[in-house]
Amino acid sequence: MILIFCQYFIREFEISISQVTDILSQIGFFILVMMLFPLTIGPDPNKLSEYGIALVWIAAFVSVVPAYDRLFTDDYLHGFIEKAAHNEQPLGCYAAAKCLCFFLVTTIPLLIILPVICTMIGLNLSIFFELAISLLLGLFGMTLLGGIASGLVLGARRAAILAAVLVLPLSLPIIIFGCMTGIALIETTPIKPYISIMIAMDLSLIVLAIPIMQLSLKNAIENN
Amino acid sequence: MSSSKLAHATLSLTNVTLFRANKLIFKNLNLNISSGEVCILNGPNGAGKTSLLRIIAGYLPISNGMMSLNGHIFEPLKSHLPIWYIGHPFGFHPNLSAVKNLSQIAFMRKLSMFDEDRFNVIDFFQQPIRTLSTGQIQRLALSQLLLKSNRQKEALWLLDEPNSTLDSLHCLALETLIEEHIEFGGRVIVAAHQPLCRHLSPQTIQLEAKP
Repeated sequence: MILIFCQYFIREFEISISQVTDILSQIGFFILVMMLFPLTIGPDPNKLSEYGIALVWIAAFVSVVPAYDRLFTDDYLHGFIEKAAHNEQPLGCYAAAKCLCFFLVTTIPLLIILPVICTMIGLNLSIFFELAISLLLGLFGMTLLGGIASGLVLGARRAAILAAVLVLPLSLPIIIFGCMTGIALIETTPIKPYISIMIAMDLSLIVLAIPIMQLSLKNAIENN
Repeated sequence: MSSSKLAHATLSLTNVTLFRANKLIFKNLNLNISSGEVCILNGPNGAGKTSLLRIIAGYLPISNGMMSLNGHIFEPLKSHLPIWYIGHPFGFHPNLSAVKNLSQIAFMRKLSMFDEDRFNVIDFFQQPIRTLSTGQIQRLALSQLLLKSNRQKEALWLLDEPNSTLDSLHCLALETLIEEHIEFGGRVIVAAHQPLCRHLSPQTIQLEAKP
Protein backbone atom coordinates (compact mmCIF):
# COMPACT_ATOMS: atom_id res chain seq x y z
CA MET A 1 0.00 0.00 0.00
CA ILE A 2 2.70 2.48 1.00
CA LEU A 3 4.85 1.41 -1.91
CA ILE A 4 2.10 1.98 -4.45
CA PHE A 5 1.25 5.28 -2.75
CA CYS A 6 4.84 6.40 -3.26
CA GLN A 7 4.75 5.23 -6.86
CA TYR A 8 1.61 7.26 -7.55
CA PHE A 9 3.13 10.22 -5.75
CA ILE A 10 6.31 10.09 -7.84
CA ARG A 11 4.26 9.85 -11.01
CA GLU A 12 2.21 12.89 -10.02
CA PHE A 13 5.32 14.80 -9.14
CA GLU A 14 6.90 14.07 -12.52
CA ILE A 15 3.73 15.18 -14.27
CA SER A 16 3.64 18.41 -12.25
CA ILE A 17 7.27 19.12 -13.11
CA SER A 18 6.46 18.64 -16.79
CA GLN A 19 3.62 21.16 -16.44
CA VAL A 20 5.54 23.79 -14.54
CA THR A 21 3.78 26.59 -16.41
CA ASP A 22 0.57 25.69 -14.60
CA ILE A 23 2.24 26.36 -11.26
CA LEU A 24 3.90 29.55 -12.49
CA SER A 25 0.67 30.96 -13.87
CA GLN A 26 -1.08 30.20 -10.61
CA ILE A 27 1.59 32.07 -8.66
CA GLY A 28 1.45 34.92 -11.16
CA PHE A 29 -2.28 35.11 -10.64
CA PHE A 30 -1.80 35.22 -6.86
CA ILE A 31 0.69 38.07 -7.11
CA LEU A 32 -1.52 40.02 -9.51
CA VAL A 33 -4.57 39.70 -7.28
CA MET A 34 -2.51 40.89 -4.31
CA MET A 35 -1.23 43.84 -6.35
CA LEU A 36 -4.80 44.93 -7.00
CA PHE A 37 -5.48 45.64 -3.35
CA PRO A 38 -3.00 48.50 -2.78
CA LEU A 39 -4.31 49.99 -6.01
CA THR A 40 -7.97 49.74 -5.06
CA ILE A 41 -7.94 50.24 -1.29
CA GLY A 42 -5.23 52.85 -1.46
CA PRO A 43 -1.61 52.79 -0.35
CA ASP A 44 -2.33 53.61 3.31
CA PRO A 45 -0.23 51.01 5.22
CA ASN A 46 -2.50 51.01 8.28
CA LYS A 47 -5.55 50.19 6.25
CA LEU A 48 -3.71 47.59 4.20
CA SER A 49 -2.28 45.79 7.19
CA GLU A 50 -5.71 45.81 8.81
CA TYR A 51 -7.26 43.95 5.90
CA GLY A 52 -4.01 42.26 4.91
CA ILE A 53 -4.58 38.78 6.32
CA ALA A 54 -8.06 38.47 4.85
CA LEU A 55 -6.71 39.64 1.51
CA VAL A 56 -3.95 37.03 1.53
CA TRP A 57 -6.51 34.30 2.28
CA ILE A 58 -8.88 35.41 -0.44
CA ALA A 59 -6.12 35.73 -3.02
CA ALA A 60 -4.68 32.33 -2.10
CA PHE A 61 -8.09 30.69 -2.43
CA VAL A 62 -8.97 32.43 -5.65
CA SER A 63 -5.66 31.38 -7.19
CA VAL A 64 -5.92 27.69 -6.25
CA VAL A 65 -9.62 27.03 -6.83
CA PRO A 66 -9.49 27.15 -10.65
CA ALA A 67 -6.79 24.49 -10.56
CA TYR A 68 -8.95 21.90 -8.80
CA ASP A 69 -10.88 20.82 -11.82
CA ARG A 70 -7.73 19.48 -13.44
CA LEU A 71 -6.94 17.34 -10.41
CA PHE A 72 -8.45 14.17 -11.88
CA THR A 73 -9.60 15.35 -15.32
CA ASP A 74 -6.37 14.55 -17.18
CA ASP A 75 -6.04 11.05 -15.80
CA TYR A 76 -9.72 10.44 -16.42
CA LEU A 77 -9.54 11.46 -20.06
CA HIS A 78 -6.31 9.54 -20.66
CA GLY A 79 -7.79 6.41 -19.10
CA PHE A 80 -5.32 6.15 -16.25
CA ILE A 81 -8.01 5.88 -13.56
CA GLU A 82 -9.37 2.78 -15.31
CA LYS A 83 -5.93 1.22 -15.23
CA ALA A 84 -5.57 2.07 -11.57
CA ALA A 85 -8.93 0.43 -10.87
CA HIS A 86 -7.44 -2.93 -11.92
CA ASN A 87 -4.84 -2.53 -9.24
CA GLU A 88 -5.28 -4.53 -6.07
CA GLN A 89 -4.93 -1.38 -3.99
CA PRO A 90 -8.05 0.78 -3.71
CA LEU A 91 -8.50 3.88 -5.83
CA GLY A 92 -8.50 5.93 -2.64
CA CYS A 93 -4.76 5.33 -2.44
CA TYR A 94 -4.34 6.91 -5.87
CA ALA A 95 -6.63 9.81 -4.95
CA ALA A 96 -4.75 10.46 -1.72
CA ALA A 97 -1.37 10.49 -3.47
CA LYS A 98 -2.74 12.81 -6.12
CA CYS A 99 -4.15 15.26 -3.57
CA LEU A 100 -0.99 15.26 -1.48
CA CYS A 101 1.18 16.00 -4.49
CA PHE A 102 -1.22 18.63 -5.74
CA PHE A 103 -1.26 20.28 -2.34
CA LEU A 104 2.53 20.41 -2.20
CA VAL A 105 3.08 21.77 -5.69
CA THR A 106 0.41 24.45 -5.34
CA THR A 107 1.13 25.53 -1.77
CA ILE A 108 4.90 25.53 -1.47
CA PRO A 109 5.52 28.07 -4.28
CA LEU A 110 2.83 30.22 -2.70
CA LEU A 111 4.56 30.14 0.66
CA ILE A 112 7.87 30.97 -0.96
CA ILE A 113 6.62 34.27 -2.32
CA LEU A 114 4.46 35.00 0.72
CA PRO A 115 7.13 37.13 2.51
CA VAL A 116 7.31 39.41 -0.51
CA ILE A 117 3.54 39.75 -0.55
CA CYS A 118 3.49 40.44 3.20
CA THR A 119 5.95 43.29 2.76
CA MET A 120 3.95 44.65 -0.15
CA ILE A 121 0.77 45.03 1.87
CA GLY A 122 2.54 46.16 5.02
CA LEU A 123 2.15 43.04 7.14
CA ASN A 124 4.70 42.59 9.88
CA LEU A 125 7.11 39.80 8.91
CA SER A 126 7.26 38.60 12.54
CA ILE A 127 3.90 36.91 12.05
CA PHE A 128 4.95 35.27 8.80
CA PHE A 129 5.63 31.86 10.30
CA GLU A 130 2.23 31.59 11.98
CA LEU A 131 0.47 32.91 8.90
CA ALA A 132 2.26 30.32 6.76
CA ILE A 133 1.17 27.51 9.09
CA SER A 134 -2.45 28.60 9.04
CA LEU A 135 -2.34 28.90 5.24
CA LEU A 136 -0.80 25.43 4.97
CA LEU A 137 -3.56 23.95 7.10
CA GLY A 138 -6.23 25.85 5.23
CA LEU A 139 -5.00 24.93 1.78
CA PHE A 140 -4.60 21.29 2.80
CA GLY A 141 -8.28 21.12 3.66
CA MET A 142 -9.09 23.02 0.48
CA THR A 143 -7.19 20.49 -1.63
CA LEU A 144 -9.21 17.64 -0.13
CA LEU A 145 -12.43 19.54 -0.81
CA GLY A 146 -11.16 20.24 -4.31
CA GLY A 147 -10.47 16.53 -4.75
CA ILE A 148 -14.04 15.70 -3.80
CA ALA A 149 -15.40 18.34 -6.16
CA SER A 150 -13.10 17.30 -8.98
CA GLY A 151 -14.12 13.66 -8.58
CA LEU A 152 -17.79 14.52 -8.56
CA VAL A 153 -17.74 16.68 -11.66
CA LEU A 154 -15.70 14.26 -13.79
CA GLY A 155 -17.25 13.96 -17.20
CA ALA A 156 -19.58 16.91 -16.71
CA ARG A 157 -19.64 19.83 -19.09
CA ARG A 158 -18.20 23.11 -17.75
CA ALA A 159 -16.51 21.06 -15.06
CA ALA A 160 -14.10 23.86 -14.08
CA ILE A 161 -16.72 26.34 -12.97
CA LEU A 162 -18.85 23.61 -11.42
CA ALA A 163 -15.93 22.42 -9.28
CA ALA A 164 -15.26 25.97 -8.11
CA VAL A 165 -18.92 26.49 -7.22
CA LEU A 166 -18.87 23.26 -5.23
CA VAL A 167 -15.65 24.03 -3.38
CA LEU A 168 -16.18 27.62 -2.31
CA PRO A 169 -19.24 27.17 -0.04
CA LEU A 170 -17.74 24.04 1.51
CA SER A 171 -14.55 25.90 2.28
CA LEU A 172 -16.28 28.60 4.34
CA PRO A 173 -15.35 27.08 7.73
CA ILE A 174 -11.72 26.88 6.64
CA ILE A 175 -11.60 30.46 5.44
CA ILE A 176 -13.40 31.75 8.56
CA PHE A 177 -11.06 30.04 11.00
CA GLY A 178 -8.07 30.89 8.84
CA CYS A 179 -8.90 34.57 8.98
CA MET A 180 -9.62 34.35 12.72
CA THR A 181 -6.10 33.01 13.15
CA GLY A 182 -4.80 36.00 11.27
CA ILE A 183 -6.82 38.47 13.28
CA ALA A 184 -5.62 36.85 16.49
CA LEU A 185 -2.06 37.15 15.20
CA ILE A 186 -2.40 40.88 14.65
CA GLU A 187 -4.14 41.44 17.97
CA THR A 188 -1.51 39.20 19.61
CA THR A 189 -4.16 37.04 21.28
CA PRO A 190 -3.56 33.27 21.43
CA ILE A 191 -3.96 31.54 18.07
CA LYS A 192 -3.76 28.00 19.37
CA PRO A 193 -7.53 27.37 19.55
CA TYR A 194 -8.02 28.37 15.92
CA ILE A 195 -5.07 26.31 14.74
CA SER A 196 -6.42 23.32 16.68
CA ILE A 197 -9.82 23.68 15.05
CA MET A 198 -8.20 23.83 11.63
CA ILE A 199 -6.16 20.72 12.33
CA ALA A 200 -9.35 18.98 13.45
CA MET A 201 -11.12 20.04 10.26
CA ASP A 202 -8.24 18.76 8.14
CA LEU A 203 -8.12 15.42 9.90
CA SER A 204 -11.84 14.86 9.59
CA LEU A 205 -11.64 15.88 5.94
CA ILE A 206 -8.98 13.22 5.32
CA VAL A 207 -11.31 10.58 6.72
CA LEU A 208 -14.27 11.86 4.72
CA ALA A 209 -12.64 12.82 1.47
CA ILE A 210 -10.74 9.66 0.59
CA PRO A 211 -13.77 7.32 0.52
CA ILE A 212 -15.84 9.95 -1.28
CA MET A 213 -13.16 10.41 -3.93
CA GLN A 214 -12.85 6.64 -4.30
CA LEU A 215 -16.59 6.31 -4.89
CA SER A 216 -16.79 9.21 -7.27
CA LEU A 217 -13.84 7.94 -9.34
CA LYS A 218 -15.45 4.52 -9.59
CA ASN A 219 -18.68 6.13 -10.67
CA ALA A 220 -16.85 8.26 -13.23
CA ILE A 221 -15.30 5.17 -14.85
CA GLU A 222 -18.74 3.68 -15.36
CA ASN A 223 -19.96 6.81 -17.09
CA ASN A 224 -17.00 7.12 -19.43
CA MET B 1 -10.54 -19.28 -6.10
CA SER B 2 -7.05 -20.70 -6.43
CA SER B 3 -5.03 -19.84 -9.46
CA SER B 4 -4.96 -23.40 -10.83
CA LYS B 5 -8.75 -23.42 -10.83
CA LEU B 6 -8.78 -20.03 -12.49
CA ALA B 7 -6.70 -21.34 -15.34
CA HIS B 8 -9.48 -23.71 -16.40
CA ALA B 9 -12.45 -21.57 -15.43
CA THR B 10 -15.02 -20.60 -18.03
CA LEU B 11 -16.16 -17.02 -18.17
CA SER B 12 -19.82 -16.79 -19.13
CA LEU B 13 -22.07 -13.90 -19.95
CA THR B 14 -25.70 -14.91 -19.75
CA ASN B 15 -28.53 -12.84 -21.20
CA VAL B 16 -26.57 -9.63 -20.83
CA THR B 17 -28.48 -6.51 -21.78
CA LEU B 18 -27.04 -3.04 -21.89
CA PHE B 19 -28.79 0.29 -22.01
CA ARG B 20 -26.82 3.49 -22.22
CA ALA B 21 -28.66 6.78 -21.78
CA ASN B 22 -31.98 4.94 -22.30
CA LYS B 23 -30.78 3.54 -25.62
CA LEU B 24 -30.63 -0.21 -26.08
CA ILE B 25 -27.12 -1.24 -27.10
CA PHE B 26 -27.56 -5.00 -27.09
CA LYS B 27 -30.03 -7.45 -25.65
CA ASN B 28 -29.79 -11.00 -24.25
CA LEU B 29 -26.23 -11.53 -25.32
CA ASN B 30 -24.56 -14.83 -24.44
CA LEU B 31 -20.86 -15.52 -24.48
CA ASN B 32 -18.76 -18.35 -23.06
CA ILE B 33 -15.03 -18.27 -23.17
CA SER B 34 -12.77 -20.80 -21.56
CA SER B 35 -9.08 -21.45 -21.49
CA GLY B 36 -7.42 -21.41 -24.90
CA GLU B 37 -10.26 -19.74 -26.77
CA VAL B 38 -10.49 -16.68 -28.96
CA CYS B 39 -13.65 -14.72 -29.48
CA ILE B 40 -14.04 -12.11 -32.19
CA LEU B 41 -16.63 -9.36 -31.90
CA ASN B 42 -17.95 -8.19 -35.23
CA GLY B 43 -20.29 -5.38 -36.06
CA PRO B 44 -20.54 -1.88 -37.44
CA ASN B 45 -19.55 1.25 -35.55
CA GLY B 46 -21.81 1.88 -32.60
CA ALA B 47 -22.94 -1.72 -32.33
CA GLY B 48 -21.54 -2.02 -28.81
CA LYS B 49 -18.24 -3.85 -29.32
CA THR B 50 -16.28 -1.51 -27.10
CA SER B 51 -19.12 -1.41 -24.56
CA LEU B 52 -19.08 -5.20 -24.33
CA LEU B 53 -15.32 -5.23 -23.78
CA ARG B 54 -15.63 -2.51 -21.17
CA ILE B 55 -18.33 -4.52 -19.39
CA ILE B 56 -16.04 -7.52 -19.17
CA ALA B 57 -13.20 -5.28 -18.02
CA GLY B 58 -15.45 -4.02 -15.23
CA TYR B 59 -15.68 -0.42 -16.38
CA LEU B 60 -19.36 -0.53 -17.32
CA PRO B 61 -22.19 -1.99 -15.26
CA ILE B 62 -24.67 -4.23 -17.10
CA SER B 63 -28.32 -3.29 -17.14
CA ASN B 64 -29.52 -6.87 -16.93
CA GLY B 65 -28.15 -10.40 -17.05
CA MET B 66 -25.26 -12.11 -15.34
CA MET B 67 -21.54 -12.57 -15.63
CA SER B 68 -20.06 -15.64 -14.02
CA LEU B 69 -16.74 -17.39 -13.72
CA ASN B 70 -17.10 -21.13 -13.16
CA GLY B 71 -20.56 -20.62 -11.73
CA HIS B 72 -19.56 -17.88 -9.32
CA ILE B 73 -20.64 -14.30 -9.89
CA PHE B 74 -17.85 -12.52 -11.70
CA GLU B 75 -16.87 -9.04 -10.59
CA PRO B 76 -14.04 -8.03 -12.90
CA LEU B 77 -12.42 -5.42 -10.69
CA LYS B 78 -12.42 -7.68 -7.63
CA SER B 79 -11.66 -10.98 -9.33
CA HIS B 80 -8.27 -12.69 -9.21
CA LEU B 81 -8.48 -13.25 -12.94
CA PRO B 82 -5.94 -10.88 -14.48
CA ILE B 83 -7.68 -8.74 -17.09
CA TRP B 84 -5.93 -6.64 -19.68
CA TYR B 85 -8.12 -4.17 -21.50
CA ILE B 86 -6.15 -2.66 -24.35
CA GLY B 87 -8.23 0.01 -26.00
CA HIS B 88 -8.66 3.70 -26.23
CA PRO B 89 -7.89 5.57 -23.93
CA PHE B 90 -4.69 3.71 -23.15
CA GLY B 91 -3.96 5.25 -19.76
CA PHE B 92 -0.69 6.93 -20.78
CA HIS B 93 0.06 10.45 -19.69
CA PRO B 94 1.17 12.51 -22.70
CA ASN B 95 3.93 14.32 -20.82
CA LEU B 96 5.63 11.25 -19.41
CA SER B 97 8.06 9.12 -21.39
CA ALA B 98 6.98 5.80 -22.87
CA VAL B 99 9.13 3.80 -20.47
CA LYS B 100 7.77 5.63 -17.43
CA ASN B 101 4.19 5.02 -18.48
CA LEU B 102 4.85 1.36 -19.12
CA SER B 103 6.79 0.76 -15.92
CA GLN B 104 4.05 2.51 -13.94
CA ILE B 105 1.53 -0.01 -15.24
CA ALA B 106 3.95 -2.86 -14.64
CA PHE B 107 4.45 -1.70 -11.08
CA MET B 108 0.74 -1.37 -10.43
CA ARG B 109 0.18 -4.93 -11.60
CA LYS B 110 3.30 -6.19 -9.78
CA LEU B 111 4.92 -7.32 -13.04
CA SER B 112 8.41 -6.83 -14.36
CA MET B 113 9.56 -5.39 -17.66
CA PHE B 114 9.43 -7.59 -20.76
CA ASP B 115 12.43 -9.37 -22.27
CA GLU B 116 11.40 -9.52 -25.87
CA ASP B 117 10.67 -6.25 -27.55
CA ARG B 118 8.26 -7.63 -30.12
CA PHE B 119 6.62 -4.34 -30.96
CA ASN B 120 9.93 -2.46 -31.25
CA VAL B 121 9.08 0.08 -28.61
CA ILE B 122 12.60 0.45 -27.23
CA ASP B 123 13.37 2.84 -30.11
CA PHE B 124 11.10 5.50 -28.64
CA PHE B 125 11.27 4.51 -24.97
CA GLN B 126 12.58 7.87 -23.78
CA GLN B 127 10.19 10.02 -25.79
CA PRO B 128 7.13 11.57 -24.17
CA ILE B 129 3.86 10.05 -25.36
CA ARG B 130 2.66 13.29 -26.96
CA THR B 131 5.46 13.09 -29.54
CA LEU B 132 4.52 9.56 -30.63
CA SER B 133 2.32 8.57 -33.55
CA THR B 134 -0.97 6.71 -33.08
CA GLY B 135 0.59 3.47 -34.27
CA GLN B 136 3.52 3.84 -31.87
CA ILE B 137 1.15 4.42 -28.94
CA GLN B 138 -0.82 1.36 -30.00
CA ARG B 139 2.40 -0.68 -30.04
CA LEU B 140 3.31 0.58 -26.60
CA ALA B 141 -0.14 -0.34 -25.34
CA LEU B 142 0.17 -3.84 -26.78
CA SER B 143 3.58 -4.17 -25.13
CA GLN B 144 1.71 -4.32 -21.83
CA LEU B 145 0.75 -7.85 -22.83
CA LEU B 146 4.42 -8.77 -22.93
CA LEU B 147 5.08 -7.80 -19.33
CA LYS B 148 6.29 -10.78 -17.37
CA SER B 149 3.76 -12.26 -15.07
CA ASN B 150 3.48 -15.38 -13.04
CA ARG B 151 -0.25 -15.46 -13.69
CA GLN B 152 -0.13 -14.67 -17.37
CA LYS B 153 -1.47 -18.11 -18.15
CA GLU B 154 -5.02 -17.45 -17.09
CA ALA B 155 -5.00 -13.81 -18.18
CA LEU B 156 -7.97 -12.53 -20.14
CA TRP B 157 -7.06 -10.15 -22.93
CA LEU B 158 -9.67 -7.69 -24.13
CA LEU B 159 -8.38 -6.05 -27.26
CA ASP B 160 -10.29 -3.20 -28.81
CA GLU B 161 -9.24 -2.58 -32.42
CA PRO B 162 -5.69 -3.74 -31.69
CA ASN B 163 -4.57 -3.81 -35.31
CA SER B 164 -6.36 -0.79 -36.74
CA THR B 165 -3.28 1.43 -36.67
CA LEU B 166 -0.51 -1.15 -36.90
CA ASP B 167 1.75 -1.71 -39.88
CA SER B 168 1.88 -5.18 -41.43
CA LEU B 169 5.02 -6.20 -39.55
CA HIS B 170 3.51 -5.48 -36.16
CA CYS B 171 0.15 -6.95 -37.17
CA LEU B 172 2.04 -10.19 -37.67
CA ALA B 173 3.71 -9.80 -34.27
CA LEU B 174 0.28 -9.31 -32.71
CA GLU B 175 -1.12 -12.42 -34.43
CA THR B 176 1.82 -14.47 -33.16
CA LEU B 177 1.39 -13.10 -29.66
CA ILE B 178 -2.31 -13.97 -29.57
CA GLU B 179 -1.58 -17.41 -31.00
CA GLU B 180 1.01 -18.08 -28.29
CA HIS B 181 -1.31 -16.87 -25.57
CA ILE B 182 -4.04 -19.21 -26.81
CA GLU B 183 -1.67 -22.16 -27.02
CA PHE B 184 -0.59 -21.36 -23.51
CA GLY B 185 -4.16 -21.55 -22.32
CA GLY B 186 -5.11 -17.90 -22.22
CA ARG B 187 -8.34 -16.27 -23.31
CA VAL B 188 -8.66 -13.48 -25.84
CA ILE B 189 -11.64 -11.37 -26.85
CA VAL B 190 -11.00 -9.08 -29.79
CA ALA B 191 -13.11 -6.41 -31.41
CA ALA B 192 -11.71 -5.79 -34.85
CA HIS B 193 -12.76 -4.52 -38.24
CA GLN B 194 -9.63 -5.81 -39.91
CA PRO B 195 -9.40 -9.60 -40.08
CA LEU B 196 -7.40 -11.12 -37.24
CA CYS B 197 -6.63 -14.67 -36.08
CA ARG B 198 -8.70 -16.32 -38.81
CA HIS B 199 -6.67 -19.53 -38.66
CA LEU B 200 -7.39 -20.00 -34.95
CA SER B 201 -11.05 -20.69 -35.81
CA PRO B 202 -12.40 -18.25 -33.27
CA GLN B 203 -15.99 -18.06 -32.14
CA THR B 204 -17.63 -14.99 -33.55
CA ILE B 205 -20.23 -12.72 -32.05
CA GLN B 206 -22.12 -10.53 -34.43
CA LEU B 207 -23.43 -7.30 -32.95
CA GLU B 208 -26.00 -5.30 -34.86
CA ALA B 209 -26.30 -1.55 -35.00
CA LYS B 210 -29.55 -0.28 -33.50
CA PRO B 211 -31.41 2.48 -35.28
